[in-house]
Amino acid sequence: MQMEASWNLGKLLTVFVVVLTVFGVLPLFLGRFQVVLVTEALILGVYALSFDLIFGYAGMLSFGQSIFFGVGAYTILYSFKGGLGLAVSLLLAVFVAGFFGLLVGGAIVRIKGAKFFLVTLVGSILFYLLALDNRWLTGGSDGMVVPTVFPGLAENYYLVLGVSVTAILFALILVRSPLGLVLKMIRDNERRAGLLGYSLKKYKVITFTIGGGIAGLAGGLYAYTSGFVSAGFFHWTRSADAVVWTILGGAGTVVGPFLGAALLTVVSDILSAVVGNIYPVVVGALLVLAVVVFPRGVFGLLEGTIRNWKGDSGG
Amino acid sequence: MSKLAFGLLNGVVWGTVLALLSSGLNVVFGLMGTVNVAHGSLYMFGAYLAWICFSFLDSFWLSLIVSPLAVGLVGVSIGFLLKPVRKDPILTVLGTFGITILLQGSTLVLWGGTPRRVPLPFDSTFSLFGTGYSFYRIFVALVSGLVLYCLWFLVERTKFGLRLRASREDPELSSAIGIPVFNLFLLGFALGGALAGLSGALIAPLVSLTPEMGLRIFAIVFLIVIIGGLGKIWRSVVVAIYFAVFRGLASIFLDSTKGLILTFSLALLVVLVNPSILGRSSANANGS
Repeated sequence: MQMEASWNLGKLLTVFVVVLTVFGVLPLFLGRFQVVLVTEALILGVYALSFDLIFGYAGMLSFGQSIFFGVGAYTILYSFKGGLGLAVSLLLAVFVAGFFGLLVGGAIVRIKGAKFFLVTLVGSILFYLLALDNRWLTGGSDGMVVPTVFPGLAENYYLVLGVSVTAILFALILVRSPLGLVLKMIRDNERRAGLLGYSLKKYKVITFTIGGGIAGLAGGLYAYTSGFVSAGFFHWTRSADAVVWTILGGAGTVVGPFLGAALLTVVSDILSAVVGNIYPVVVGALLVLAVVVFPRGVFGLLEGTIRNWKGDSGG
Repeated sequence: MSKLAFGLLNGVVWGTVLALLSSGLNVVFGLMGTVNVAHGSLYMFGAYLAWICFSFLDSFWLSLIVSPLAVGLVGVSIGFLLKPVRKDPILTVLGTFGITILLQGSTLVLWGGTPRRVPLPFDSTFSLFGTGYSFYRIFVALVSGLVLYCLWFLVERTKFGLRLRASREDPELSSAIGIPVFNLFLLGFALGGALAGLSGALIAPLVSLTPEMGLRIFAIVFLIVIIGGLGKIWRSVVVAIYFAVFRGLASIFLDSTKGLILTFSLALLVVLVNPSILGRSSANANGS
């Protein structure tokens, strides 16, 4: 976080342009399969970012992001069935999931700490069970096919890239806005923020709503690009994924969730080719390691390395 | 009528096992302020050890000793692993969640995802409204009740329990008057693990074992501990029995998924609307 303060706008812009260019020309150098992989990693990065805003910036350890991911995905399904276009459908996914975020956030905002984790975990279990039980609406565990014409891999990739960049820019602006600063203060010292007269509940609910909306966007993109939705979109393991990616990548940074999602998508892909079921073991071990040894994630490690290079003592 | 009696009895049996399992979480969370998310996976591990004892050593009964010991040992290792972060509630949740994934994944690698079954160690039944009811279930409830009583005695009536409670109330002061707080922390984890292992072994003949059986039951057990009140063993027993009876009856009169939905919703509502419905639980919780 000290890093963010020391980065001026010029540097940030340069890095941004370079990264964007690299991602822009990437499909020219990758095979079909890798393009799909990168597309998926980007969507999952957006999803992880939604958790990071809630946890990394506002300090709420939510295991309920899959609720909004699922709601977004099903919004896309029904919006397409209703004959709406892609752009409108994605916007709708954001708003419907955001509305769910508002409802859920409003209900649980009083709860704190480990209890917050429990309540959101039970929430995502509950939504999953409801999705399983209401087959007429969700298709249960067999799922439903999203009625869309497949536009092509490259088109999908650029769509997802565009949405990801928008989400990143939005998050960067958000965390530097007055709202973002208040959130950081709530995370770091809730009591002081309360004493200074900030309505903690209001800010927390706003964050939960925004996080829900972004998770819904990711869910919608996922449903659109894979052409399929099922009750499994709501499963708590999907909530856990967002948590793991963010912690490993670096919580409280905008880039961290993307790093984590990309890294684990690649690791999962490599491991599944080598040994069948070893992936969860590796992820569990990495998470324990991250928590105990490098709680600031891969981004934190990188940041430290860069600083050592420069011989930069302060920041 | 027979359905109702069946559901009630089953609920009480399940409730006592859930209470035993939740008491393990309670020792670590309520008395020490640390949430061990891996508690459900420890229970799963205990159940798989029972399956191993039965399949490879040909004795289910052995597992009632092996599971608590082995799982208690795993508990201690978790305590050691988390030493650097044990004072941060969020990091301990994340760390023990990592251990959950690790344990679940290891079970999948070692013993596969196909459901495993352990046959009833004795299959005598007695008749209850025309249907046979297994004596083993009664045995499970009796053992659970006995162990719960011993645990209550340990925590409320012995010097060890006093130190445990003291080190939770005020770790710094406790350590200043010579209580080895970290050793107690490890002992608490050992005890919690042993209780999870025993519950897993006891329940193994009554359910089919899968690597995923841990996390959902963790959510149930954590709800029970929160509603029952932290550090309160007997209140958790009451809540656990309520929970199991309600779920059992709901599953009989609706179906299994709908019953679970109803039970979870109700429990969630209790936590959200009135966390201190059964006394001073919320006052305790906010301190941790």
